[in-house]
Amino acid sequence: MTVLTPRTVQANDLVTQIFEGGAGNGPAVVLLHGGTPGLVPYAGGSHLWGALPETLARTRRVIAIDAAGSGGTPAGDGPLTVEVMARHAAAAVAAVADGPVHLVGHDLGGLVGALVALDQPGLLASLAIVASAAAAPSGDGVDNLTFLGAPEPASTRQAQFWAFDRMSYAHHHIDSTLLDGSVAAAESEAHRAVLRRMANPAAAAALTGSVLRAKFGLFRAAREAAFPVPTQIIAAAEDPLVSRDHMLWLFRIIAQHQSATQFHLINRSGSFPFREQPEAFLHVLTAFQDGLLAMAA
Amino acid sequence: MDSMTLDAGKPADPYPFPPRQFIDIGGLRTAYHVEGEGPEALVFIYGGNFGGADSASSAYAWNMQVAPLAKRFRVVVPDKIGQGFTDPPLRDEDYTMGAVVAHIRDFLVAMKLPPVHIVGHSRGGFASARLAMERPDLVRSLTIVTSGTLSPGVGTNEVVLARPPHPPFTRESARWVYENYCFRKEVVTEAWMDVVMETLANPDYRRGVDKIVGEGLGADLFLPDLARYKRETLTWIDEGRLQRPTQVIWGFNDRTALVERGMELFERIARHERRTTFNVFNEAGHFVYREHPERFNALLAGFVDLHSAW
Repeated sequence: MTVLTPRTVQANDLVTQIFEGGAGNGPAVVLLHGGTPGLVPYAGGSHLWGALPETLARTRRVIAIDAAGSGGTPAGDGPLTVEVMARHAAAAVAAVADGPVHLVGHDLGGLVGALVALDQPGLLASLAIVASAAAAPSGDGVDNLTFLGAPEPASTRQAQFWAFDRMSYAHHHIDSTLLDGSVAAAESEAHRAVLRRMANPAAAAALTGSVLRAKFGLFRAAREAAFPVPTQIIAAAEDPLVSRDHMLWLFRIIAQHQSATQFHLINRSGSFPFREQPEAFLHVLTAFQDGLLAMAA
Repeated sequence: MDSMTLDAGKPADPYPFPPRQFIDIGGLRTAYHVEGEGPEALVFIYGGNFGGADSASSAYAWNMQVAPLAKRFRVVVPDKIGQGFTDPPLRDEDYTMGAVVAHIRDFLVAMKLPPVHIVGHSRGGFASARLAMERPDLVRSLTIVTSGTLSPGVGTNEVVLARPPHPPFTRESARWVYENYCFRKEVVTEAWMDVVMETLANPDYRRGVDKIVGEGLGADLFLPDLARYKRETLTWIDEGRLQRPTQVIWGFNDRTALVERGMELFERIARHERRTTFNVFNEAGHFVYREHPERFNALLAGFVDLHSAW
């Protein structure tokens, strides 16, 4: 199996942790993870992708980026917002890629990816938004109780297992590699610094407010003009954080004016379809990319 | 030899269609097309049924799949009983979906194909799913494309296409039907309509029309029988008899089978078969595979790779 190599790149004044490997025809694939400190109890970082990067690296170049404020990348000095994360992600993509990339964003990473597409479409060959409650319309939904009664402190191995278990169709994918990576991410200086900041209600409100602002910006842009890049929406049938109907609505929104929009629903999976059903996920992800390549030929 | 050298100056057809061949299946002269080599065999089953007078399906519906996928797989496209250039049923009581399924089954056996990746569109999606349950030994994977026939819920085919404003058997009628099926009118090409008109003019095809429309077998036999058969087939799915990887593919803009019909179908199959996905293409009507051939073919090829023989 190809092992990805860690290195750091400079992106928007942040020393950014990335993992890269593989080679192949067609654009590189860039992975943007979810799990933002203060918004969800699990600790974000590139470790969440599990075996996906290594599997992708067999046939293409892959770069996984630790988002601003997660894993090995600091949040910087200013307020942490989705816009800040998107500017950082765009700078990181520009720093590592030698052409337009297939950007894959999970959870909040999906919304960050959508902002990158809107702000700098030239960086992207396509966008995949995966199991993203952040990007999908909320539609005056009812309270989501998935994380009700989360154990404290959230940084322990037990608490991380609890969070993944709550988000999963079945717990079998929660292996020691995931838990080791999550505990390390939760104990990272970047993560702890953001948590300290989020203890201030104004900072937390700035982040949650930016999620809504970014989401509505996406909806408006997709309503008024073609969403600028081919986009696939990948939903998980048993995702407790965002229903298949919500994700289908996200597809409808992008599909208004973007011809090359696809929706995919993965069976028997919670919030991490690339971990719970890796083969089916890899199939729909790469088929879209291969199909775009065939269209361009 | 490429067609550029045959006919200099004319652009090569990006989707050359292999010549029609015939095989005897239970006394019926059965037309089919085959191309490509490989351990994995793909079989395409188009939609419609015998006796259509406003339009006519045939194997050519899949011309955008055959050449691209034949680079890696053995691709086989039969004409169904009483459609395209295959003989109509020998007996009146065989103007049923059951006879369509039995004919496909006997064709697969006669062709000595390994367990196939069957791809069925519309009514062909129903027949393919039924076959996957009746004879799982013949089927390795199942792809269902916009099948209001198989999906529970209200299909709107008869609403959208009710009583075309042009006379039956005319090019205008066929064009009107397919333009209403598709998202973009431009995909209804003259080449496609040429084959439809050739089918409508085929005397064997017309015998089926005489039975279905002229003698009323459509209203008296085919449709009520299909309704009973569908009830049983959906019950079979609910019982968990569909034991093959299944991908459901839908056109987001198909007015004859709305995207909700696809979601309902996914839910019923996915309850028992883990290896089920639901896939929707934007700016696609009923003929997803003709409106977005590159991305459709990539999705299909990836599915076949995922579920190939070990």
